[in-house]
Amino acid sequence: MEEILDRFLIRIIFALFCCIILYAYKYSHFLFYRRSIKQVKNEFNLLENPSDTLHFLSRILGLAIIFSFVEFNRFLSVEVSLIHLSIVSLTIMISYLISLLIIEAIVLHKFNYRTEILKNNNFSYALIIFSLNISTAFIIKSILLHSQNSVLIFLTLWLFAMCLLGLIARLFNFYSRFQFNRNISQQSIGVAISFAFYILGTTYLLSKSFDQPHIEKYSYMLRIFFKVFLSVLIVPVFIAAIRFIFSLKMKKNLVQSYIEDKEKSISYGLAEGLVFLISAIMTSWIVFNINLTGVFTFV
Amino acid sequence: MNKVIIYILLLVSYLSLNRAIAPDNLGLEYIRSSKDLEKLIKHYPATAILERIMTKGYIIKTYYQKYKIVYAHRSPRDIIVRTRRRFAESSKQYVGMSLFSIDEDKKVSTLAMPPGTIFLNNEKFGQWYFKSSQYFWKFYRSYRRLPIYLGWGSFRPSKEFFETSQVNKKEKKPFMGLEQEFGATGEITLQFLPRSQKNEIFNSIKFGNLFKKYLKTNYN
Repeated sequence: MEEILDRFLIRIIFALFCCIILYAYKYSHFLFYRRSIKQVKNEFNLLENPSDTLHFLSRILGLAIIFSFVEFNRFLSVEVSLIHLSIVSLTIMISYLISLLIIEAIVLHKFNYRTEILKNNNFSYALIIFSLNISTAFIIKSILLHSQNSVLIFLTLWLFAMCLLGLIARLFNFYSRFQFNRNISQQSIGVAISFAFYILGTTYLLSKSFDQPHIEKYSYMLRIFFKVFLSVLIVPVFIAAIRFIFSLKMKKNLVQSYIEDKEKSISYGLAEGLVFLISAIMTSWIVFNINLTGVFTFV
Repeated sequence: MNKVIIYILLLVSYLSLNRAIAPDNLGLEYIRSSKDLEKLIKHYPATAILERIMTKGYIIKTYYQKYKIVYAHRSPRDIIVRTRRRFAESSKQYVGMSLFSIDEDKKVSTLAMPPGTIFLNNEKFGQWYFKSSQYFWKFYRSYRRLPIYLGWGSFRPSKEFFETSQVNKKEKKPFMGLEQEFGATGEITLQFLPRSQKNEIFNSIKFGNLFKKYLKTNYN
């Protein structure tokens, strides 16, 4: 009975410590994410502005996703584990908020939080921020899993991953028929849906790319780069194949009108986004689940 | 059309970058023939014994060769090189033999010879001794491990063996031993090769057998 109670108490202590971490995360916005400081400074009204709600809560969701990687297998003492958790959580918080700043600067540099969220209540912008927050969280989680508890390796991989993620996000314009900046300012939900599926698909591929043999950091990064490059080559094959096999048609003369219309753009965004996500998942099978190295035949 | 051109350019750049800088493709030298081993062997006298030939790939095959470099004054080392198909196919019969030798005067020989022929009749490494009405070669004490590295086992070359090898050398013909004891099917080579390799020497996969094995393993 004592053992059961002891284990239960330890889990409660960790849950309370997580609440302290969340409290620290709230106030870390004052240092690392000042643009939306209004969200954390005073009481936040969840029902006032749905775009602001999505913008704010997606960041908390992202932190929770990253925290899901932390594991305790050899439990020596409560104090040591709490110290380890506090160091790890500090790293996560700082890196996550800075990553969000960087990725928003790359993708949405023409937009402003105050104008889009507070003044215009732009749900499309908020949805794109949501997808970026979640994808950044998954990338940081992958990096933490593969950084082998080394700060240097983590920093190197983090910088590398941010460059790749920014590049991938900018490539959306090559794939989609939406005019990204124009459609966001017109508050078109379709572009946000298309972008959300696109970035989730590419994040899935990028996070799987980190699962390589950890031999030497430069060759490790080269391997990641080549896996990403290979994915870029195979995704269009699946996109074309899916459209051909299932006879997915979009009448060319109607596409432009669907893109321009706010409500009709949802169907076009869904079509574009889901086809990409399906292709990305199929590509991950081809690129990561088929191991062709190291098979020799003797002659 | 533009998208197709961009895709082809991306594909070409992927293949060329992969060939140039991918970690899996670095570190292996390429040789067109056994003469190119000269750039890999920095010390002499030495001889390169072809241990095995491997292929990699399912549709487009890449050929590799594994050599054991036996030096007179250093420990032997193994190297794996990439090579072209023609050379790999032609050298199949010479597995276990020396395809490259370099003597003290840096004179190179690429004729297929039994391993260690380069050290025979050289007073610096050994001498002939008389036994059972024949002369046999014996290395000096300092080089007593050479027969092990060369894979001779209990074989000791006779004077007749050496003289026949020199005749073949002058005629530029490969020499596989007086009783064909060297080469891919030679008795001494088969003793020298690791046991697992002897069992795995095969030329083609029979899909029927593979399928039967698969059924037996999974659905017995």
